[in-house]
Amino acid sequence: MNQGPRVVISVMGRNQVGIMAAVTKVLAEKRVDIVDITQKIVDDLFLMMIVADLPEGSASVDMLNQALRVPCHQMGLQVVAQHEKLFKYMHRV
Amino acid sequence: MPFEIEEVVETLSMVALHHFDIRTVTMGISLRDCISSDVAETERKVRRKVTTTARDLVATVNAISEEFAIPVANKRIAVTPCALVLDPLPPGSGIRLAKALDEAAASVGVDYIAGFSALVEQGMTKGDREVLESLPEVLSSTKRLCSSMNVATTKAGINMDAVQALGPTIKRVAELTAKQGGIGCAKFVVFCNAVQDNPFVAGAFHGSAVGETCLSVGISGPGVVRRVIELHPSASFDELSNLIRKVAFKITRVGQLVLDEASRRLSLPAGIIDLSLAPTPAQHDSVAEVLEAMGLERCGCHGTTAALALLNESVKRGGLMAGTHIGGLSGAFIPVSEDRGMIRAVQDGALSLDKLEAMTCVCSVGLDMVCVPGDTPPEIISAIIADEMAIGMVNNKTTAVRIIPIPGAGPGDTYDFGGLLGEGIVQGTSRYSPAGFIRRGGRLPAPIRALTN
Repeated sequence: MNQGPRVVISVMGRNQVGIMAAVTKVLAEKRVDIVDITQKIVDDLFLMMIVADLPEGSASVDMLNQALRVPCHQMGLQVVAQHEKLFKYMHRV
Repeated sequence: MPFEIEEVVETLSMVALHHFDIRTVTMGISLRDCISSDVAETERKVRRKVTTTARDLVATVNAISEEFAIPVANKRIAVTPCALVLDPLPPGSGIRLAKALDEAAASVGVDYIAGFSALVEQGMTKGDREVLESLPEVLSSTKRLCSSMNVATTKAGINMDAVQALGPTIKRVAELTAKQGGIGCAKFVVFCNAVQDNPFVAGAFHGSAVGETCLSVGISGPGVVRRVIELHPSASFDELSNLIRKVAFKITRVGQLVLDEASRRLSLPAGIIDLSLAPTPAQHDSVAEVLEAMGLERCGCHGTTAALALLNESVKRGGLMAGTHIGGLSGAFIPVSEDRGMIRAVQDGALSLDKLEAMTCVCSVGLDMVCVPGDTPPEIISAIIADEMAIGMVNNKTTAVRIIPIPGAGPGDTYDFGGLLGEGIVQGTSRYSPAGFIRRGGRLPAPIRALTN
């Protein structure tokens, strides 16, 4: 599969059943290829980071964000997909 | 795994919960090749230059913003100080140049275009005088155009003739835009030691040493800084400084990323990053609230100047290593109307004009978006400017005044300017007159420290 940009999808909110399912359903619909998933629960706070490759040409980061927003906001979750380069700039010297 | 989950979630929190954004990407454009002695030709050249050079600015910055999911609040243009373009043109040309710039800005979709400016600290040319004399009409008949005048430097002293003339000029601008609370004055700044590469309006202009064109970025993010301070209520000043430095580093890195990407995609040189933490009227996106998070009951109480000094220095230390070229104003902004915490501090009687003036000694800009009664005599406005210019001149730093005498309003009255300009609140001035001092005219000499060679 030809790859588009690599993105990091971060999810944060109250732990509940179905978060992973809701997010990955959107990713599958958008043909987003998951590279890695890290998930953690601190007290009752659910944190998740997904590193993924967008398919070339078809889905922009913005379109992915719009698609993720609907199910995640219904569940009271904060979610955002951002180009990987942002994290290299912010968190690596 | 290249990143830790905590790092990723920290970024998410900054954007989703704490109003993190980039305040502006500003394109500087030289107008020196548009200079001619025919006003119609100048208008044509200016329109073509701006609309061609900035054609893709807004779309490119929007694409970057979407890709990184980082809001960029404004896209702006800064041009060569217009006095240089007006020098060979007949009186009355100022308004025509201003309208050409305003229309060009509208057609490329930027929020503001700035640079209807003159640098007059040692005197005025024909073009400088045209800028001054056309200001009321220009600021009342254009929408996006911003203007500034540098009336003082540490090297030259203060042009008190210009300061004297600006009192009545600012009053006239307010009167001509009275229906909107004197909003024309929000688009005009008086400077001491103006910088040539400032991306922030209203005081941006493209200095003559900056090159043909370049891009600059102004950062924001007081909400993010406030949050990190709130999480450490008993941190010592040393620890506080470290915390702010770390978050300022991250904020500035995002600014550098946006600048690098914009520069690459538009094939234009990257200029500077301005480290000024710019507030917005949004809840919790306030510099005043950063200071209050340090332990001040209200911004403006005793201790505020020290807190601001700590904030300003820590942001600079953190940002310095994060950006390739740091420039512009690079100091915390304390505009009153644009910052909800500042407005509250004035409403509560905690923040006076005098305390604001003291705060300007340790941060950038100065008395910014300050509202005074509509019937304030022009010589008081000139004297407020003179005081602020003296602070900048003697301390070898940039200071500025953006003051709005709101027509028909008295102390405590408010006016909603809308958008990023926020809600102005009228502050009282001294009831004693400086008229005898202001009318002397001439130039206030430069301080001894100007003689450094």
